[in-house]
Amino acid sequence: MEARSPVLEVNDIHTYYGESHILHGVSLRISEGQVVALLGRNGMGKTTTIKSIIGFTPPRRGAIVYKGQDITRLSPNRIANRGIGLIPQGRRIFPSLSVMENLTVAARNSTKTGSYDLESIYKIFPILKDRANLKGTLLSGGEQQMLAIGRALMTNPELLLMDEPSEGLAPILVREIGEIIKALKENGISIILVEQNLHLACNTSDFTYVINKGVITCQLTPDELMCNEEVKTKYLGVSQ
Amino acid sequence: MDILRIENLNKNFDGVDVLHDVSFTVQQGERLLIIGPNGAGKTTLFNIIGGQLPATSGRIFFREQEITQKPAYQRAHLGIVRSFQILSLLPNLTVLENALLTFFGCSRSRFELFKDWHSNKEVVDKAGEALKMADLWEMRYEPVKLLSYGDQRRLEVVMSILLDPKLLLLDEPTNGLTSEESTSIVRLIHKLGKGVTVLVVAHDMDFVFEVAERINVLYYGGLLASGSPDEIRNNPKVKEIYMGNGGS
Repeated sequence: MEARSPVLEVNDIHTYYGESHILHGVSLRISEGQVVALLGRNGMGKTTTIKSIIGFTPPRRGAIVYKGQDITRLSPNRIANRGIGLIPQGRRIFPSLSVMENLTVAARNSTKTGSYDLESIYKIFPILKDRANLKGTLLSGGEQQMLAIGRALMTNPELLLMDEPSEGLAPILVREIGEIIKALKENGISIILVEQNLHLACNTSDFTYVINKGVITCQLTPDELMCNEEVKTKYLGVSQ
Repeated sequence: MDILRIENLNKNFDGVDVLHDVSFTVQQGERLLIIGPNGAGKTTLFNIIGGQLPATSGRIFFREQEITQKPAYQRAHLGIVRSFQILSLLPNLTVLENALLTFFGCSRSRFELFKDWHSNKEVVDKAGEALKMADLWEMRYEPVKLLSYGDQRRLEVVMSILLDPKLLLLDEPTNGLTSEESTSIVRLIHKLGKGVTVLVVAHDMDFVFEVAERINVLYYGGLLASGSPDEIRNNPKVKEIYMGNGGS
């Protein structure tokens, strides 16, 4: 897909946990309405890249530019306010809040057509409406994942960071997540997708970055990646 | 011989029927997989077997002894051990310390916690053996928080094994893992002898069919089907409600 104006540019970022140097100059770029998959084995820096973008672990060096503005040193709440949404790995549902409260607590209104509100989220995930008054902890794992997706959409993001959205979901729901990603893309939302499910990632993305030991080692189209057995085995941990 | 017998189990949360009238048995040494759509009640079933939640009604027997009213720690002492869907490790302790802590949790040595853990050779050897089996030995001095997600998941399975289970309940042990890492969990399960009965909740169909001797399908809190992997794979209703069009 030919790139339109970049929504986000990550330029040569170096991120550390204490003394541990995790990201060694990661660069990536995502255009408006594009879905970019960030793939790699566990422990290679995918989630750290996501955390660097949203401001949880700001990089010590390098720059993150969102819609032309440097957001490298902004706090996570300011970054979220500018329109970057996060679906974190492990769901991170607020346990003491009800389903509805989880959805509305960080809601950010949008005047755009096709924006998300409580009703549209309930339309995508009807089970959340049935469970609206239950506490987040009483939901099943899969329902919590739906809630995490719904909560992020309620912030009406222009760029959505999805960290393993299919984790813990039944096969039929994984397909649904694929459809949701395509629908979000059609709605103009740009998405960075971190995913272990290679088929889901390749079926939904326009472009893929493969990260290994904190370095982007390959940049491939989904078709190129699916045909590249060496990359799949060596960098993605796909069993032969 | 049945190691576990569930009779007419019901669970209701604030008016929501999460499990209704679930009955099944598990044979000694069996590998039983539990699958079903999200929200079907799989984790709740595990919580009730493990004693983390009380049943609303129904009875549970472990080796012919009724355990319905027993608290979780007494079930753990009987040999019912479970892992959780969300990782439950101690992030600031090392891999080895996490492993040792589990071991002390169920042994009489637990009151010697103020001693240097590493000085108990027998315990360290046993933990070491399990860590080597899971390819975690090389990182035994790493704080758990620095481990990758896949390694943390494997450590959790190792910790469950160190508790010397008779009945091991694994709740989505391959979540978030690469297929290679999932294969290493399969190997860990295969290495357990038939002295350990294993119940697993999982969504990863490759993993399910690799491990399962029998599969139970939960649907809206009820037992929809039970059968061999082939029977379940070809069950049209299971395809419709769980797998979607044609498998994983």
